[in-house]
Amino acid sequence: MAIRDPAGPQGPDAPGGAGAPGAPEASGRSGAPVHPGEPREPAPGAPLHPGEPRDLDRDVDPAHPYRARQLAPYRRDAGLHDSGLTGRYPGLRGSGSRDPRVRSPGPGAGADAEPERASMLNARIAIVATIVVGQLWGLMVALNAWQEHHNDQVVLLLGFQLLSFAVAVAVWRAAPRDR
Amino acid sequence: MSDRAQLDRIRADTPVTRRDYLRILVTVSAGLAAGAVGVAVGLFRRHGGGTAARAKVADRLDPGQAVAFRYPGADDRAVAIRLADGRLVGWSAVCTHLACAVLWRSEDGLLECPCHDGVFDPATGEVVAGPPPRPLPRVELREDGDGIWAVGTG
Repeated sequence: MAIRDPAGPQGPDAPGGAGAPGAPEASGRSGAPVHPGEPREPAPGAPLHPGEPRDLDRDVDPAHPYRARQLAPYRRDAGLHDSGLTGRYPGLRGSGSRDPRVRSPGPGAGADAEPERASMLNARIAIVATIVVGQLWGLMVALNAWQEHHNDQVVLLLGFQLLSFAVAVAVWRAAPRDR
Repeated sequence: MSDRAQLDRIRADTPVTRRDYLRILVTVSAGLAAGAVGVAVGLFRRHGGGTAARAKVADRLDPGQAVAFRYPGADDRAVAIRLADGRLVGWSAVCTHLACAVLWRSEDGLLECPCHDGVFDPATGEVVAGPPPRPLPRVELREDGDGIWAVGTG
């Protein structure tokens, strides 16, 4: 593809440019058709069809628009312009089944819509985690008691385990406003 | 995209929610309770119940001598020791830490598990050093004119 620098001295209207008589060999670099009858190459950022908005690519330096365009096919996120997979961490996606056209989760995404309910959920997780730690300890003590033939202690620890599980289930289910 | 917006997007895409964590914890709790039921109903094997067939261990043991044997089952390692004071004691030779073999060290007068340096007192079976959590289970011995016999487990 021919490359043309509109800021340089080789522009179509510049002296010695493509339009200048006596310099036909420079027409390939200036965007003018090499062969008669070919259409002129559009200016960088210009719409291909009349009426289209101008291409606003933030990666393009207006002073040197051709550089980013030249490198565009070789960029890591080439072809992903509208997929939502660009950015610093393009691999950090969720299930992979999202609509690729959705580029932003929207305002407030990731924040707690109801802080009180979220705090209750955190507290319930903490309570059940504590119960599980206690159950681990209880199971260890019960195994020792069983090996030492302390059967009454084993029965007591069995009651402790069942009661702990009942409390864990109650804490899990006790959320009338939870979704 | 700003760092904050990137963080929000990652949080919004998190596949495991806090409610999932809560459900997982309750499931673990159920598993632990089931394990306790298994312990209570006797799913786990333990040494001895006081009843076992009589088995001959040795004809005689001199002070400081020990003999290894299997009792009450063919897979239950045990050791009989004649202490320096003449007492005859028998212990399970399965370490209460991780079930390695417990060996008699006559030069030290101790029972030692070489796997993790657990040490037991041969007179009482109590843990002297190392990681074992329980003393060694006792093997009841009897001595008569025919020799030394294992008669039960304690």
